[in-house]
Amino acid sequence: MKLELGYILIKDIQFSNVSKVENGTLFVNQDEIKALVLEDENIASCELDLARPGESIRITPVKDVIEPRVKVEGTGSIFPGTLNKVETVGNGKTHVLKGCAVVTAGKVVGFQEGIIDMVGEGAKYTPFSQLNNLVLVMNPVDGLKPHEHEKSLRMAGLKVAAHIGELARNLTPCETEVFETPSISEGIKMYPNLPRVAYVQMLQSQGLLHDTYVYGVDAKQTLSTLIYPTEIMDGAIISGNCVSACDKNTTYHHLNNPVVHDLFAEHGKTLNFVCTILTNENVFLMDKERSSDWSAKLSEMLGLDGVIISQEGFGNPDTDLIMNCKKIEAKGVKTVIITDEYAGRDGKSQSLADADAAADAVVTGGNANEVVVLPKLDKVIGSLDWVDTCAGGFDGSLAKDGTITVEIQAITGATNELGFNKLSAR
Amino acid sequence: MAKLKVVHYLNQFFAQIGGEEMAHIAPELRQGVVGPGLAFNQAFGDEAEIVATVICGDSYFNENLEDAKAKVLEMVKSQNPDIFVAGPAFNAGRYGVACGTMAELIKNELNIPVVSGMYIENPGADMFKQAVYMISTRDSATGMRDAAPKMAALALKLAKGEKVGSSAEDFYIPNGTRVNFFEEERGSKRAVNMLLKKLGGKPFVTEFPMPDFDRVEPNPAIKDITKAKIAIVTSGGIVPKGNPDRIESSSAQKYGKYDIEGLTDLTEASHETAHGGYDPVYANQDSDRVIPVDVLREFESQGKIGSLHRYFYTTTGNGTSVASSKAFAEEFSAELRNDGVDAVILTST
Amino acid sequence: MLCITNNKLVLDEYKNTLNIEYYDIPLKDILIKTRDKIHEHYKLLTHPLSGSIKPGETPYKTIFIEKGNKLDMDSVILIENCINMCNNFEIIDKSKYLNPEKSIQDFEIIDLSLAKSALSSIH
Repeated sequence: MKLELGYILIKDIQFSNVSKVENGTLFVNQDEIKALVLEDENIASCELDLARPGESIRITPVKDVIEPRVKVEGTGSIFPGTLNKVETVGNGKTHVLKGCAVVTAGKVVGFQEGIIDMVGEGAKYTPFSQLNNLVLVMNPVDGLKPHEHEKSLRMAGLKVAAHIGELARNLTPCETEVFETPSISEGIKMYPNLPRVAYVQMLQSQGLLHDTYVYGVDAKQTLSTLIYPTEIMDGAIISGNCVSACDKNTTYHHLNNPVVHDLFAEHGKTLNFVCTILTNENVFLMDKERSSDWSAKLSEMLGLDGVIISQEGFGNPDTDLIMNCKKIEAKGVKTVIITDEYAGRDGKSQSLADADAAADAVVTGGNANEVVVLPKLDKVIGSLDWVDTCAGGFDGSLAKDGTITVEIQAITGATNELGFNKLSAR
Repeated sequence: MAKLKVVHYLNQFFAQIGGEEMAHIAPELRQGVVGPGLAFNQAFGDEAEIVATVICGDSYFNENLEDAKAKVLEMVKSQNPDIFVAGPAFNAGRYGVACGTMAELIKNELNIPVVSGMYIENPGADMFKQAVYMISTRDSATGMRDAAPKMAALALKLAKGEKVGSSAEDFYIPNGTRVNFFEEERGSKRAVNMLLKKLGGKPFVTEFPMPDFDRVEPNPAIKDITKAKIAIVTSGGIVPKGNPDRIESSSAQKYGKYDIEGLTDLTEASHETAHGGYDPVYANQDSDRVIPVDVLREFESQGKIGSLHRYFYTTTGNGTSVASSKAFAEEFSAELRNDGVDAVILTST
Repeated sequence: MLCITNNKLVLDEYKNTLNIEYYDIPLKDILIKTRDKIHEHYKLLTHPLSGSIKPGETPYKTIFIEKGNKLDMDSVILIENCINMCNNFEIIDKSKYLNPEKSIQDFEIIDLSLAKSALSSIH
């Protein structure tokens, strides 16, 4: 399967009467976007705002971040099975508005979290400080249940991102990149001497506010399965996860999965990137055993030499990570795992809820308990009133001078377990 | 600004006094730089300088611990230094323990920055890495050129009250405290590089070492204990009275094999412990407390076990490196097997 | 199967269909209760740190266990690791929640949802 990504670089974002992309600026018609969001009768109101790199703006609480894309050639359309009909994607051509994102914000539940600072100390920890963001702050109708509320916000984000992505349909990309995965048998013939490597991606799948969807299917109801890495670039996986801001994988992370990109960069040179194996992170221990048995079995069937395993979230998934690692190693397949740590504020505590000697090659996204002080910024998009009660916030987090003392776990994407960032720990 | 004052600690070997034959020398204070101190002074530049060097023999330090600690402390204190540097000790076990001991003591007593350096497998590293910063060095003195600038840089950082980075940035032996920092490459790229190394059988460094599980799979159970030949092996240092083979009280370089044929009880007159890491009074009074020869003889006569093996094997576990322990065990395990021993009772202290 | 919980909503939902022990105690104490049960030869069915909401942040925890005939070492290790992990987090006083009633209700609902998600796998 072969996909060409065409990048249209966005350097600025503005409101305007007409939505369009011109000379690297994304123009957005507010009314058009609002009308689109308010089609959903569960959403009572929607405010739009812009946040550009370097501006003194704090966005919080953040639910999801989505990159606008559009399929211009090939089968299916963006976000299959969720926004659009379920048809296989990952082939043909897709245009990407690179450098911008749709950010959904607003409280889903009473304690929501997630900070994107566009400047200052906090901006170093979140990759989204580098983007031109269109922020949607949405409020639900009264009495809406959390799961309906979450769904409305999730779908609104996808809808708006796809709508903006459409603006790129007839543009000429500034840069293109081609990703191709041969069939298993072709791959063996093409690269007889290269190690066969796959990517085992664990998807958050514990329950309300902890869900991920693959072609619209709730990942907790799946067995471990295979997917072409390029399908992920077309929105085959979307995030319904609202919890643990620092190590949740937003839809933006899925679309731009860094393990997929970095394995493709070596594909055909030092390794043969065979495919992606999707598996989940359920609460029920027997599900964990079954899912990890299956990812190990698939690794064996595919005749792999090595895998990279990535994680999402805190606590419970540590167990899935270690099970996957142990069982895949036991099949004679070498593993590297990517995780993050909760080593306490002083960095002295045991970092993971589970551990095993088989996990001898670990990449870490850093200690999520590390404390940072975020400066007072001129503008807050969303609401700050949750700060004292968020994960990583604590009594008196929000000081009189407007600074916020938090653990970096409150910052969206800070300790990402796909390896999106440079942050690490020793 | 005046240069910061540094006191440097060395053993007899690095002070160029002599080898093992001079390891007995008592602590001595010399003004200025001795031996490797030169490399440190170069690295300190015009920010700091070694004003005095304290030298102590490794045997003296280990065998007269309290006295040596007090004397070295007094000598360091007399110089009123801003920084204390110990070693580097590389893979010298007793020297490493002395460096760690003094660095920790001086940090606590004089409340000044201290830095040591040694090879990661030096027993002193495990004992003191959480107490003091210890630069990770090579296993021999060929690593001096590399170690001195790193030790000097970290010492200056501490003296100036600057934030110490992660172990990967400031080159110290990981001390159990996790510190965040920004890497050159993003995590996914680091994972791909690590996997390529692992696939190619090349060395790689994990970013998060799993807790140390040195688990040993249990052997299958003895089918019939009443027929089994049992041997005793100990790291509790029990030796015939007088320690005929001079097994070291710490960082043991050898083990002993001793005949207990005909003995039904170990007494104050017959056996003692060579171990320097615990209060020896009770072991010296009755060594059966560490290796239960008396009870095993009873069991033997009652037919509860087949027999007690004629020899027991012993060393001191105190500061003895894992590598030495493994080497000892490989040797005598083969002997035990050849002698038809079915099971071993392993005791420590 | 036995359900150990400090979540009233779980109790109300399942009191007629499941074997439930409800305790009005903090989250970490639910983990300790579970540990005690494990030493009475119960085995963990669900992960004690289910949900990415940090201990200290949510006050609620529901854990499913099952009686066996011997000590399950995997359960012992997992519960001990999870109890340890709890110590890495500050406990947020419920009275500090903004809009406490709504927050508490949300935490109850999410814990119930995690329990439901586990039960759907069990059945």
